[in-house]
Amino acid sequence: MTRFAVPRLRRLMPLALCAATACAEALPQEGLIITDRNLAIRTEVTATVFPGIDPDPMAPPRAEALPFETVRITPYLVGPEGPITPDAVEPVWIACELSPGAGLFSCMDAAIPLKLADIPECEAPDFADLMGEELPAFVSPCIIARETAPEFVVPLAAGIFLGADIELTMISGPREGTSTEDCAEPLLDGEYELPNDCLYSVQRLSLGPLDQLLVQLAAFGALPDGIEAPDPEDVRDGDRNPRITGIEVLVIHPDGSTEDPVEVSSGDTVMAAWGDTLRVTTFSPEEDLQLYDISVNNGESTQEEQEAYQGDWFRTWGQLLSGSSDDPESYNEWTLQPGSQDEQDTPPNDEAWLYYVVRDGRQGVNWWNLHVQVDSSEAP
Amino acid sequence: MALALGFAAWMPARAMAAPPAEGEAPAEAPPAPEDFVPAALQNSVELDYPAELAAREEPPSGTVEVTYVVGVDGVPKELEVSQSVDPELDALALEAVGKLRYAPATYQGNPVEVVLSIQIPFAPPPPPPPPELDGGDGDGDGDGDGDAVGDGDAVGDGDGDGNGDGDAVQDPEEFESGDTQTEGALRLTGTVLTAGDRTPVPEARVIAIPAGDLPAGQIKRRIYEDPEAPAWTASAFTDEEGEFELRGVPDGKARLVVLAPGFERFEYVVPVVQGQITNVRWYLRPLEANPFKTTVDVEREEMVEVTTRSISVEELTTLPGTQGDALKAIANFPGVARPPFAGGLLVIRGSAPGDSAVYLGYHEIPTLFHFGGITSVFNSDILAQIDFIPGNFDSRYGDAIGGVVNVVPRKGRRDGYHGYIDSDIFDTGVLVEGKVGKGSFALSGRRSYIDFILPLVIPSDAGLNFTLAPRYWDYQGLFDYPVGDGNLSVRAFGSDDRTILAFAGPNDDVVDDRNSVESTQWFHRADLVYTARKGAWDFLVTPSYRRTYIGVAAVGAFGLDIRALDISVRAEAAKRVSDRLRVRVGTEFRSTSSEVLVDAPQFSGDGQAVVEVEGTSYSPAIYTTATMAATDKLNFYPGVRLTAYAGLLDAVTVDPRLRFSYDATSATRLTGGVGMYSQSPEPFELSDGFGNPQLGPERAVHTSLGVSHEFPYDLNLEVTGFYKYLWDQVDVSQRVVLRDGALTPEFFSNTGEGRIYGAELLFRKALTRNLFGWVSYTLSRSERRVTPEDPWALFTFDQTHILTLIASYKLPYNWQIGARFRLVSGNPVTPCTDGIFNASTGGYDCRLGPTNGDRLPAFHQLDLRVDKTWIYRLWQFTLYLDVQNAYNNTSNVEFQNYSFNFQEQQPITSLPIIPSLGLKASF
Repeated sequence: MTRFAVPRLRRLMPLALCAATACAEALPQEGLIITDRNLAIRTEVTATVFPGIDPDPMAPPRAEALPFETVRITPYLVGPEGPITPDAVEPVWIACELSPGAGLFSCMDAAIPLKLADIPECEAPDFADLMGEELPAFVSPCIIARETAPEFVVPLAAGIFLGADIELTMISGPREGTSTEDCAEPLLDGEYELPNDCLYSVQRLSLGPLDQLLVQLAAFGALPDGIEAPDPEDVRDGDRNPRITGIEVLVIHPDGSTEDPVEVSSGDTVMAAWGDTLRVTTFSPEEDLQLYDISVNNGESTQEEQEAYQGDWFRTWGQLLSGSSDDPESYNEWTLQPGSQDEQDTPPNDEAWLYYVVRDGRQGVNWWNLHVQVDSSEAP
Repeated sequence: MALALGFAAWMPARAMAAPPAEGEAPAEAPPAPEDFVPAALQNSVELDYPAELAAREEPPSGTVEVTYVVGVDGVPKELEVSQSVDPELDALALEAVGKLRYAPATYQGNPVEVVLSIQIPFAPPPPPPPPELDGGDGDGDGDGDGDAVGDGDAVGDGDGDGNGDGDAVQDPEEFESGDTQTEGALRLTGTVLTAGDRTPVPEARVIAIPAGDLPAGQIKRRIYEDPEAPAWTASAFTDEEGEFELRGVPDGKARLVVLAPGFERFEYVVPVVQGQITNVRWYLRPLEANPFKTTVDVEREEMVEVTTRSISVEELTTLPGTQGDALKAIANFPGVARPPFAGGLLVIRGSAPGDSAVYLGYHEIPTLFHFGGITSVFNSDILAQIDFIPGNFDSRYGDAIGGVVNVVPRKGRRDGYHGYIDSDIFDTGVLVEGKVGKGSFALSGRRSYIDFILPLVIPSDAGLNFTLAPRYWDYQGLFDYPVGDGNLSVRAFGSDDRTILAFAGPNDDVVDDRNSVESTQWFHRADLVYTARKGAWDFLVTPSYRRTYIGVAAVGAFGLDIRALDISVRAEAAKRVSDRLRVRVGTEFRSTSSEVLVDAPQFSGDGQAVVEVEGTSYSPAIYTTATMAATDKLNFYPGVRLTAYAGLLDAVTVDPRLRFSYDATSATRLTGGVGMYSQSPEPFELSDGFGNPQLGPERAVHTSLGVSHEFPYDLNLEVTGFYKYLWDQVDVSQRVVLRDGALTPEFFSNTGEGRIYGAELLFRKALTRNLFGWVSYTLSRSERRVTPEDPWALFTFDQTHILTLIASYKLPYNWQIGARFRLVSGNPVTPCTDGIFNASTGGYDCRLGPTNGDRLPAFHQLDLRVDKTWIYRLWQFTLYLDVQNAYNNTSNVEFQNYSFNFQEQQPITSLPIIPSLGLKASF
C-alpha cells in the first residue's frame, strides 16, 4: 500500500461534499501555478563512505541515506513564468531529529518557539564517534545551509538504531516579496498567522535501511556492543528516486489532425497554437518500483509491499484533463484554452509551462517541466 | 357504578383476637379497653362495577366480605375474602381494601395491630334509557370521500327466503314504551370492528329500536323527527372480541344504533326475519386515526433515574425533521447536541459520541445508523418506548461515561393480524404482526433504494462510478409467549450496509484498488429474554448472540477487516424486601472474540503499519441497586457496579452511585445523584501497533440535581443542573516509551481531562388527544485538556445554547401538522491558519490555530410535517410530507473547506430545503 491516501482522499472529499451541498467552485485549483511554489524536495546520496553499497552505477540515486553519507537536498521551485533558478531565492534549511512514529514538522513544533539566530549550524559526524563508549546525540534542530540546494552529511546518532529519521525544513521568501528572515521569524515564534507568500516546506530524510547500516558497520568492525549484523544477502536496497526515461508530446489540433509525436527532455520548448491540445506521455520504469517491508504487529513480523507511482500535473495556464496519474506510462492532455480560473484568455507573453512530479510511495521523487510557446494569433 | 369505601364500612375492632375455632359460633366482640384507640380510616377508595360483568346475561351481585389486619403502619395486610360473590368481584374488593390507609390503632399510646372486616355490596348498574330519536349527531362520513366504512353484512340464511330455525318471537305488542329487552330469543348477532385495522371494539353499546319506514341499510343522514319513546328496545354491549347478541327483537326491521367512545355514531337498519338469526359485521370509523390505540403494556422499571425523558412511538413517528426515526428523535431533548448534516452522532451532555451507550432490549447495539446517519438500523415501529437518560444512570448500565439511550422493543399485537408497507425518500419497509396461540409475533424489514437513484443523478463526467451504489437493509423479528410464571421473548435483529465507489480519472489506463473506496458493515443478533414475577421476586435472564463484520478498503492505502462474535448474558433478580426496601442484583457478562486485520497509516507519524490479531476479551460485571424509602416522600437509590476487563484491557473498576428523589408535593419532585462511571478505551487505542496496550479505563463522575413539576392539562416543567468531571481520558501522545524492553512510540496515553457543566430545561405537553410538543433549552460548556498541565480548551462538540421548539397537532378529518424550530450555537473549530508543504506526500499540512479557538455561526432551521390519513374498512392509508429546512436557510455552516494550501476557505453549508414524501398503507 502507498502513502498517497491523504492527497487522494483530500481531493475526493470536496467533490463528495460539493455533490451533496452544491457548493460553487470558489477555491483556487491546486494544479494551477499562479505564485511561487515548491512542488517537491528530492534527497539523493551523492557521496558515500561505504564501498560496495551501490554496486550498480546505472541505478538511480538513493533517497534513503546512512550516517556519514552526503546527501544533496534539491527543492523543485516553480513559478508562473517557469522554474525558479537556484540563485533567485535564499532559503534556509533546518535539520531536526524525528522520533520514530512522529509526523513531519513535529520535531520543529516541539522546539518552537526559538530564534533563527540561536539555531546552531549542523556539524558533520566524525568516525571517531564510533569508537566512543556512547554514540553522540544529534544537536537538533540545526541549520544545514542557507542556499537553495545544499549538501548535508548525515549525522551519527543513537536514535537511528530506534528508527529515527531527519526532518528537513525549508523556509524561503519568494523571489519578490517577504524576505526569508521575515518568513522564518513568525514560524519559529509559533505565531498562527504567517505571510501568505512565504514558502514553508518539510521533507523526511529517511535514514537506513537499518540492516544495511549494521552490515556496513560490521564491515568496519564498528558494530556497537550487543547488536548483531544480519546476513548481507537478506538486506534490502535503500529507497531510490525513480527515473523518468522519456517524455513524448503529441500536438492535436482542434480539427482533430495531429503532428508527429516528438520526444522531448525536461525544459524543452514546444511550439503550439492557441486551442491545440498537447497529449503528453511520461515514462518511468516499472522496475524502479521497489519492494519494501512494513511492520506487522509492532515488529513481530514484516509484510512485503511494493511501491507505486503517483504523478501530479501542474500548469501555468490552460486546461488539464486530469490533475494526477498513477501508471508507469502516464499521459495527460493539456488544452491551450483558458481554464475556469485563468485570468487571461491567452497565456501571458504567449508562453505557458507544464510541470510534472512523480513519487514512488516512499521518499523517491523526480520531475520534469515543459515550456510551450503559444501562437495566439488565432485566439478569439 | 362507583362504590366508595369509607368510614361507613368500619366495623368494631377486635384487637388481638383470634378467629373462632371450627364449629364454634363466632363470639360477640368484647368491649375495647379504656386505653385503646381504634384505627381511623384516612382515605376512601372508589370502585367501578366491571363493564364486562355488567354485560353478562346475569351479572353477579352480592356482598363481598374481606377480613384484614391493619398494621402498625396503618397499611392493611393479610387480606382474606371471608364471603365470596364472584372471583372478579372478590379480587376487586381485595384490591380496593389494600388501598385503604389508616391511622394505626393504639393501646396505651403504642401502635398495635387490629383485625377488621368490611362488607362491600356489589350490584350491576341499571341499563341506560334508550337514546332520544333526534337524528343523532353525525352521518358516519368523515370527509365525503365515498369511503366504504359501514357497509354492513347482514347475513341471514343465505337465500333470503326468510325461513330459519329460530326460537319463537315475542309479540312486539307486549313491549311497552321505554322498556329495554334483554331476555327472549336470540335474533341478532354481530361483530363490531374498527375501520382501518379491523380490531374489535369492546364495550360498544348496541341498541335496537323499531326502524319504522326507514329502508334497510346504513343510515348516513341526520334524522330529524319528533322524539317519542320507541315501541320496544333491545340492547347489548360488545365483548372483548367486539361481539354482541341481541334478544327479543321482533320480526320486521330493526334500527340498530352503535355507540362507542372514540368512534363515530353508526346506524343501520336490519331486516329481522322470523325464525332466523341475523348476523352482521360492522366497521366503526374512529374519531381520529390512531394506529397506536391498542396499548401494549411494558413492564415499567421501578428504578427511578435522576433524569429520564421518554418518548412514545406515536410521538416520534410524527416528529418533524426526523423521518420517524427513534434515535434522531432523541436529538430534540435537552442535553443532546445537534449533529452536523443531521448525521448519526449522539453527543449527550458534552460527551464524545463514543462515550454514550444505546441499548436495544437489555444489550448494546454496535451500530446506530445506516451509513453514519441516514436512518437507524432498526425500525422504530417495533418499539414500545425510548428512554433517554442523559447522566447519572443506574448501575445496570456500564462501560459508558456519557449517557444512555434505552430502546425497548414491544410485543406483537394480539388483536388480529396487522401490518403495513411504508415508503419514503430513502427506503421501503414492511411489517406484519399478530397473535400466535397465547403469544404474538412481529416481523419487519426495510431496504433502501439509493442504489437505484444515485447513479441516475450523478453526472456522467463527475468521474464517480458506483460499482455498488450505497444500499442498506435491516430486519427485526420479535416473538413473545407466556411461559410458566413469566414471559419468554425471542428476538432477532440484523443490518447490512455496503457500497463500492470507483473514481477513476479520465487518464487512468489501469483501474485498481487505488481508484476505489469500499465499505461493508453488517451485524446479526439473536436474543432470548425471560422475565417472571414470583411473589415478591422479579427475575430477568437474557442471553444474546451477535456476529459483526466491518470491512473497509480505501484508495489502496487503508484496509480494515474485523470479524467479531459477541456473547452477552444478563441476569437480574429483584425483591421487594419490605414496603420501604427493594433490592435488585444483577450480573452482566460480555465476551468478544474477534479477528482483526488493519493495514493503515499510523495515527501519528508517517509510517504504515499492519496489525493482525485474534483474541477474546471479557468483561464480567455485577451490580446492585436498592430502592430505599426513607419516608413516604424521600427515596434513595444507592448502587454499585463492579466491572472486570480481561483480554485487551486488564483492569477492574468499581463505580458507586447514589440517586435520590423527593416528592415535595404531589406534583413536584426533586431528583439528584452523584456517581462514578468508567469506560474501556477503543480497541484500536489498545492495539499493539496502532495504540498503547498499557492504557487504562477512562473515568468520570456525574452529579446532577433536578426539579420537575406537573401542571394541569398534562403539562410538565423540568429543570436540571449537572456537572461532570472526566479523567484518565485517552489522548494522542508523541512520547517514546520503553515497552517490553524496546523503545516504541506511545501513540496514546491516559492523560486527558474534561469538565462539563450546564443546565437543561424541558417544558412539555404530553400527547393526550390532539396536541403534544415541548420547549427544550440547554445551556452548557464542555472543555478538555490533553494533560493536567495544559490549559482548558473547548471540546469539539461543545454547543453553548441548544433551543428546540416542537409542536404537533391533530386536526379534524385525520390531518396532523407539526413543526420544529431549532436554534443552536455553532460548533467550535480549530482553524487552519496556513499550510506547510509536505514534500513526502505532495500536499499541504494544515498549520493549526488555537484548539477550538473559532466557532461556526449559529444554526437555525425550521422543519415542517403534514400527515393525512384515509381510513377504509379493511385498511388505512397515510400520506406524509416532511420538509426539512422549510425556509431554505443557506447560512448554516457545517464546517469550513480549505484550499489546497489552507490559505483560503469556503463554508460548507447544511442541506438545503428537502421535501420528503412518504406513503404508508396499513391493515
